[in-house]
Amino acid sequence: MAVTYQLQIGEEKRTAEVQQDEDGRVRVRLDNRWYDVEVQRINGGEVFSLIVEGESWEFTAVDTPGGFEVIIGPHVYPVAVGGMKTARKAGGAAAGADGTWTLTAPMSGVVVDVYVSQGDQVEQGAVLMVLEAMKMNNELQAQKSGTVQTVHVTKGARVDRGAPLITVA
Amino acid sequence: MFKKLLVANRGEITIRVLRACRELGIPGVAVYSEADRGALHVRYADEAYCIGPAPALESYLNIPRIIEAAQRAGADAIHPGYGFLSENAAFAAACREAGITFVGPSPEAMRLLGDKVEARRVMRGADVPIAPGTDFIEDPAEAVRAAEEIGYPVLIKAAAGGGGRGIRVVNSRQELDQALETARQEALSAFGNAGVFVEKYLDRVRHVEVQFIADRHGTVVALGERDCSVQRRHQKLVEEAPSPAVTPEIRRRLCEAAARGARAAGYENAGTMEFLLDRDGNFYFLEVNTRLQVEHPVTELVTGVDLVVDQIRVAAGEPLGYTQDDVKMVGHAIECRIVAEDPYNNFLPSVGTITFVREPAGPGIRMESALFQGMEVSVYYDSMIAKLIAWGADRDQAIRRAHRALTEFKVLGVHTNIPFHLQLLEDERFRRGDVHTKFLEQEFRLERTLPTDGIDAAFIAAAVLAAERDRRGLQLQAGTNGTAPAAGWRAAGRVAQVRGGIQYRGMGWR
Repeated sequence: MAVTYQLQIGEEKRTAEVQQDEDGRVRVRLDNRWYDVEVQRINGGEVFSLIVEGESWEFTAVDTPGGFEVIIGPHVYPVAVGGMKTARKAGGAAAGADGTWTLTAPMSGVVVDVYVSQGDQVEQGAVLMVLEAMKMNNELQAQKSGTVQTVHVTKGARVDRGAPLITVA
Repeated sequence: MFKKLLVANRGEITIRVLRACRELGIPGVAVYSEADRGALHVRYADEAYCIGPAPALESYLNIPRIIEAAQRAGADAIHPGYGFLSENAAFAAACREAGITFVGPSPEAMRLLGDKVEARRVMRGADVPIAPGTDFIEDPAEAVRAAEEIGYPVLIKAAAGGGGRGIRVVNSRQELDQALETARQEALSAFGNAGVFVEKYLDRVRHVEVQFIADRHGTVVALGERDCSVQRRHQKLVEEAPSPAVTPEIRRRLCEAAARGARAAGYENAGTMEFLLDRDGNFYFLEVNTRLQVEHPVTELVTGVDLVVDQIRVAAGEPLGYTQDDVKMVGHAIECRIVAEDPYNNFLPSVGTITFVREPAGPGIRMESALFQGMEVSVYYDSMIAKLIAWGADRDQAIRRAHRALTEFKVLGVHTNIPFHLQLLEDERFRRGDVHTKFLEQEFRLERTLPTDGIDAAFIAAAVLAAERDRRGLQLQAGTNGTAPAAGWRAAGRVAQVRGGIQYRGMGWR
């Protein structure tokens, strides 16, 4: 039985095929190259041991919208997975399937200022708004360049954690 | 010695103090807010008492409730930790009134040193170098005269400020009147005291501080310096001892000045005298922190002194038992403050539940934390979740050990600034010791790079996870709120990296 996925980390893309034979032996193809792979989830928890043709890796993984974050050592690899039949939705600033990105409130607080309005062009890293929480004015930045599609809140609004604030297309 | 000691704090520092109690054979008491019922410091303590709701004002800053808990427990000493009530003279006075020993200086010394203008006066009298500046400014014309005499840029500082708060930089005469007025108003609303003064603004300086401890028998010992120049918006992020910029001659002068100042202030217990150090080796008194500092472990690692044990001993009236001549600094120590903030998103505080944690260990590593799986990082308290301290025979080894330990540290559920620390420790300027207090803001840029050799492993891991999910419905934790989409990342960086290890940018392994 074999399944195929389209994977992407940043600008890097791979087509991956996963094969598992009757003995449980796993082979993974990345583009044109096949790898013998052993994966073990440690004690049913967050930690996985991965041995790829003798190279030993330890990783942890969490769900993200549209894929996984694979964490190796201190590095977080955000992997977008295309072709998964059962992608799960997770909370937080969400990268929508349609390519939009929505800034959500990282914590409950009060909207002190909103610097953008619908139709504005924003660059990744631009400060979109200020949210007061934990006695601090927190500047919330764009995680994606694009056009502001929707501003969900107004100045002075009290927002709960996870509330959508601004959607960038 | 004390019969029982209460720690009026939470988190890692409470556990640090409770550990000292256990070593001294003193039963330790914790207090907690309703939000901290399950916290590690509560479970570590021999006794624990609830002191109010989650907001600090109603619990960890609630003097009557804390005194009440101490009386109920029969504690005859209170250690305030750092932050919260640690520099509150009224709290120290309330302890005294209740017949409880406050582990720290007297309320009189705290009041004296808490007032910047008074502190400058005492230090000047003790022949401790202070930056050119004034006493209280009453008349704006006086500020103009002083600023002209000192030379712009100058600082306007709140007399009651501290920790970088209540400071304004004034670049020219035109800005002065407005800045003075604003500073007064800010000082009044933030500290309840409109007193301000003018001080010379020193640029490209290092933050160097001297740890000292004094007993009530007249012994004052300075335990060398710490360098805390790596700061972001006056918030220290990395501290080390000794300072790469301090020669034995400067150290001797620093330590002597700190000891003179401590004596002049009638200081007892542990304290820290902060200085600014310029490129010519001149240093200027900044302020005295009348408490145990977050970064005290770096001093402990290079001197072998247990500061908390000694604090408790001298508070109980015991002589310190060693003198200035006994102090030797051996090797080098570096502390990285691990905070729940997203370094890739403007260091925004990150709240949530810790879903997984594995702390580093190994040669030369000391961890101070109160982390556990299931811990809630909440909006109510400080975002610092752990301190990673590394000791090495020299600075290079300390940096390598700290870096290695950072790569071992796994925290899931909240963002942390671990990637920031890794890049900082790899930075050539930091490795040379060539930093100043504005280094992070003016010269350091956090890069979003991933080691290329991990990419195929990550792809393989993701492919296997996807297949497992499709086949058997694999369950994983949800990602951290605010997770950045993949688009912003560059797969570049350390090409020839040893897997899981480091390649110092432009420096290479020896």
